[in-house]
Amino acid sequence: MPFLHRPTTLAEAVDLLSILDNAMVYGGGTAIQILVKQGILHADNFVDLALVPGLRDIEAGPQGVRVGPMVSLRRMETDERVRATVPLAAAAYHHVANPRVRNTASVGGNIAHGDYRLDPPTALLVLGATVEATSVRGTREIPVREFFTGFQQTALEPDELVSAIRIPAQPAGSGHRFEKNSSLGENDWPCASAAVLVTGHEVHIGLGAVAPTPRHVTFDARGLDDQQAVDAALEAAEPALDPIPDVRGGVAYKRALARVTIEDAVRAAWKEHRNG
Amino acid sequence: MKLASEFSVPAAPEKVFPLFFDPETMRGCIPGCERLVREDEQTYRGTLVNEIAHVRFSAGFAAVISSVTDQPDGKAVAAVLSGEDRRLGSSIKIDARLTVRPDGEGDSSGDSSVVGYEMDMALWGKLGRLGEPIIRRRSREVELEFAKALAAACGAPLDRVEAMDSAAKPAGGGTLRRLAGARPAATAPAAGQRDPVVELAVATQRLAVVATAVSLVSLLVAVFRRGR
Amino acid sequence: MAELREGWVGGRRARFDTAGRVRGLVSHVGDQPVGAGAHVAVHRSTQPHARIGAVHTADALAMPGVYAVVTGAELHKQLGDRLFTGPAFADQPALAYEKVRYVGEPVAAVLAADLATARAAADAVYVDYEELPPVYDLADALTGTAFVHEELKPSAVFGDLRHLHGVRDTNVNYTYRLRHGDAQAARDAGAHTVTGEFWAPPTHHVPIELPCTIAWVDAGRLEMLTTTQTPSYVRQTISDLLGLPLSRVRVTTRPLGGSFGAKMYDRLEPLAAALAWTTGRKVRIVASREEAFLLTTRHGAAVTSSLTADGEGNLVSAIADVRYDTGAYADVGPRITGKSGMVAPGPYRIANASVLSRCVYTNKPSAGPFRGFGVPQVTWSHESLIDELAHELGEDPYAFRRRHLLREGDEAPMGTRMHSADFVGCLDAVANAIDWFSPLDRGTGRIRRGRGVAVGVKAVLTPTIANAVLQFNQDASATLLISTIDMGQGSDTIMAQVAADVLRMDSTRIHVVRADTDATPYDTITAGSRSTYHTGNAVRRVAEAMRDKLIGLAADRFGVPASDVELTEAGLRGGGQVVPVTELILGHFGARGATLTTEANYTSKWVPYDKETGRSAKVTEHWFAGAVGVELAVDTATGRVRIEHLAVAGDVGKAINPRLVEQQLTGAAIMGIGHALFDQLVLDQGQLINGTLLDYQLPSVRDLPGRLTPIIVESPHDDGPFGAKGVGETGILGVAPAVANAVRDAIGVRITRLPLTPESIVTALEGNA
Repeated sequence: MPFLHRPTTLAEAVDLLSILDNAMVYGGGTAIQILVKQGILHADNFVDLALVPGLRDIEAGPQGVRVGPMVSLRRMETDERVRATVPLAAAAYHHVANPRVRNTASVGGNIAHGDYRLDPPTALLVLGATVEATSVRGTREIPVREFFTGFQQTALEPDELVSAIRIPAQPAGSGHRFEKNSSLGENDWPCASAAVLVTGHEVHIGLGAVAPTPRHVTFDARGLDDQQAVDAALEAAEPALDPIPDVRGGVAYKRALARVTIEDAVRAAWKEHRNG
Repeated sequence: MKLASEFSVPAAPEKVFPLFFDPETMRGCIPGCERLVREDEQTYRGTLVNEIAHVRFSAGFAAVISSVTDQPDGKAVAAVLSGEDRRLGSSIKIDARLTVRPDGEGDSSGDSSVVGYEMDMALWGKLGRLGEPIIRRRSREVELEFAKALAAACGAPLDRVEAMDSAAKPAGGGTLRRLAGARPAATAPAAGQRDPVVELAVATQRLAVVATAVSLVSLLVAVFRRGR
Repeated sequence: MAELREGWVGGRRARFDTAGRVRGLVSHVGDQPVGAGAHVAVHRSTQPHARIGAVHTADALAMPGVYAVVTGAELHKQLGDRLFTGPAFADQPALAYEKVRYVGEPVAAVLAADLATARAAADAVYVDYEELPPVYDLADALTGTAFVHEELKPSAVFGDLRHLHGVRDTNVNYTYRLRHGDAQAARDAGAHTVTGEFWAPPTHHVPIELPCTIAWVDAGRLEMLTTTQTPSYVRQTISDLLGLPLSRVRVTTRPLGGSFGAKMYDRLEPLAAALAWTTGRKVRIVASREEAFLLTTRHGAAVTSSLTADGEGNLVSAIADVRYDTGAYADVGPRITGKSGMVAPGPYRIANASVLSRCVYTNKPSAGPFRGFGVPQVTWSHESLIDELAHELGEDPYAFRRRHLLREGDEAPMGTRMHSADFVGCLDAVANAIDWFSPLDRGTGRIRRGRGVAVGVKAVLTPTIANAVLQFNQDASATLLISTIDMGQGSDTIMAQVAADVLRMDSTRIHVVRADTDATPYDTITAGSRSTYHTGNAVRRVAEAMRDKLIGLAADRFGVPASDVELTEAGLRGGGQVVPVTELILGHFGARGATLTTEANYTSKWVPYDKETGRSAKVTEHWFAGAVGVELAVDTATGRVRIEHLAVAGDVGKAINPRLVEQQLTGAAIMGIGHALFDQLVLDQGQLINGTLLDYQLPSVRDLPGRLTPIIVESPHDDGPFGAKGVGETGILGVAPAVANAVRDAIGVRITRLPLTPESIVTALEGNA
């Protein structure tokens, strides 16, 4: 069984990560516990962040929000400041799994998991969020658009932990939409998800589950009507669609579902922007 | 689970082919292959070592050749690979088939070959209930790594090798495509009529099959060891 | 008074244990402490079909806290061929012996001080295998040359399987044939024939409570506490396995947290008994969620079938070739093959019918009983065919069915007459509920709407035996001893209602004793929707015997003939006198707390199938009739089906408790929605690849229909307790075909493979375009 460490300061936590063998940061534990239960996770040490003060803070201002890694997903969907400042992010967090998971899972653990099907990264990509990664060497900033480096791989070094996520405020008058579709039960992992932000001049799209990593695409929307915007979105997204076939569907179906999801999200965001 | 794909190597078959006769080259091309021993004419044993995210692991495997075809217009070898990860309570069996043919659609100079593989992979045990999407994904990475190594071994210019990062992606959005039909018929070598050159070719071509197949397993194991 | 009657037959009293089950106050087997007992973990096969070489246990044994590692070879040394058990074939070893036959089969058991140690040690066991050619699917099994078992080993239980003993070189362990008239000639001569290749995949039951067995030896007796629907069967199996008289085996239970057929026959019990007996330790085995998927499954089934009508639209021929994939061990597959094969033509008047139904071994986890007992798989075929035939004839699918449905007294193709099986009433009820007769908004844009209906028929498990013992306590409460298992269906509640109605008493004052083979009497099984009828009859009889006994005592006390005494809510009344039962019994015994005891039996009989024709004049004690109506919308872009309204009707004879009947119909319909839309076990070369709750698909609250209407149809059975029959399976039979028929109505595409995933619908639409 892995040994559970419970540091009480951030410095102690990163210190542990720098010296322990095969250590893993323990946030909400919703992903880790499943792997432990299935007997396929062989971490030797867990560094639990639950007792480190300040990691559950949400700071909000006109520029955006800064969120501690131990903030629950549930708070991201319900916190009034988050909802007002980055409503697209709140919408994406709202769609993760179910309330029991959202009450437990943490913002930092969610993004560090790096799974290609997660909902929140789609919105974070669109909004241009930044991940603060802390280690004994200090804290560095990783743009979320450079964070997902491969299939379940992130830019985090093994001795780094996510110490905060900064999400810039959503531009006033923009339209947004988060859409996701599963391919089997409604409550299953998504088979395609899309976060869309429409501003005065461009459209940003974050895509989940449609490729080995979350994807981000953008295009110039000036002078387009809604159908042209949908067409442009599908064209822009096309190179990013690279789904992995599995029990949830083959490549052709997953691509088709991704296109429907993108179209629905773009249409809704476009409408909201126009009605502004 | 069936996996099939093919990739181009920027060298003529005449240049690629001898490389399959060189075990050292093959070993260099197989991601993570640390040891490769020929036990008898049909049987090979080896070890793959990989390190991902600071987790080092080692997996043993065995490979048995089941048939060989060596014709001027196409070459193919079939082998059965098996391996086991006891710690993860899992075993794997792969019916693999590798082909090498001239790339008819290559540039006019004809300095291009197509290496194709088809694998029917059974993954049994704890990993089996979890591994499919990961193995499908990893197979592409291993393929690319192998193709790049092979291209470099062919003496391809470095910029061409780097270009393979995008070029090696098969058509259809970069997904593995299933190769229905167009498979050369495999014929078992007739007993007592073995050509030593063919024998060597068999051995080394099989290495390539092992390369792509077993590396998948090792990477898969690595991913789970890492706990993602 | 009204409150009292809510607890009698026809009353809607709440089940007695609702709060306890919801709040976790009812203790289950897994909650019981085992003290110094050994926790057991199992090392499982990583090969689908292989000969077992050396089993390396030294590393596991060296781990601190490990007591023992036991292999199949060691158990065989002590128990011999008694190690092989099973309800139909004695083919399943508690631990694999000489061969493994599926990925995940138990090969060695580790006994340790705690579960984590046991599991770690089980991982440290490794096994040398010599690979054998695997049989992955029905095609491999029926046409290949590899065989899962060297020879067939029918168990001693069923005489009609005796001729199969020692048969070699086959994967077919049982064949049922129905021949009624000349179906092929009638098909050839018929005007309209529809055909189909149908597939219903294997599924898993996924009860919330995981299987758990605790076994120990006490004074030379093997005692056991286990999650089972079949305590009487398990006692017999353990008795056979260990060579002990029945009196030296005790099987006890706790309330089950769901089962649906998952906790029947030989699950963890033979292994637990063998380990406890051979090591002398108290052992506890609990399946992890992932292991539970391997314990038993619903049969995947392929059906190749046709239905033919003549020029006037009369049904003249039904032909079906049914193949049940039973996996590595037969379990009760041969019984499923027969009981389901005989209803493969459907509940219709059909002049000629021919069915070939086979139970087939493959190298996969064993398939066994599952709510519906194989019938949903053939219902999928016959309800798709008759729908398609109606379309071909240009007739309304509802009206076409209604015209041909079997009526009271009709003889079904398998030779048995219909009684208390109101198919027409059920079909009418669901059609009315979903507004079949009013115009449908067909939808716009990418949304298309459709409606569909389906009818199902299933026989109750016959022959079976039920016994009941009643102790009437001096304080006017009662203790009812039966071996029916309450697994959430509410049997303990309705059995009390039956007894309370007869005894004119408060049903909440009747305690139903948990099955304990030392105390509660033999009962064949809690399965096949048989308990309300069979055990209910035994309970009615035992209560009537008690009533007669009380009346006898009162007659003596009053000095009047028994025929002048009546049992009422107020007590016994006769000759102008009244005495409360408390006083009557106190007066009789002269002691507070004394009890009166009665016992009763109810046994049903059948006529076995004719060997040549597969027909029987009485194949079952009674029939279940059910129907489902669905209105749904298909998103043609995503392929997703949204069920807007689902109505499910079942003829229950008489609802002992209408509220619980509605809950059974509703629960079965929800389970059926999963089977219709996404629920399936996916296997790849013998490996289960979605056997976790992350990947396995079950209906969640978000998959429920917009409206779900359960409808009780009552066509009383002459011999049922107050006319009642069971209801556990009725609701599930027609769900999948009703959904598929509605999809057909919505988008014009007939899909014959379950489940109807969004991908399959999009693919079908593309194929159609």
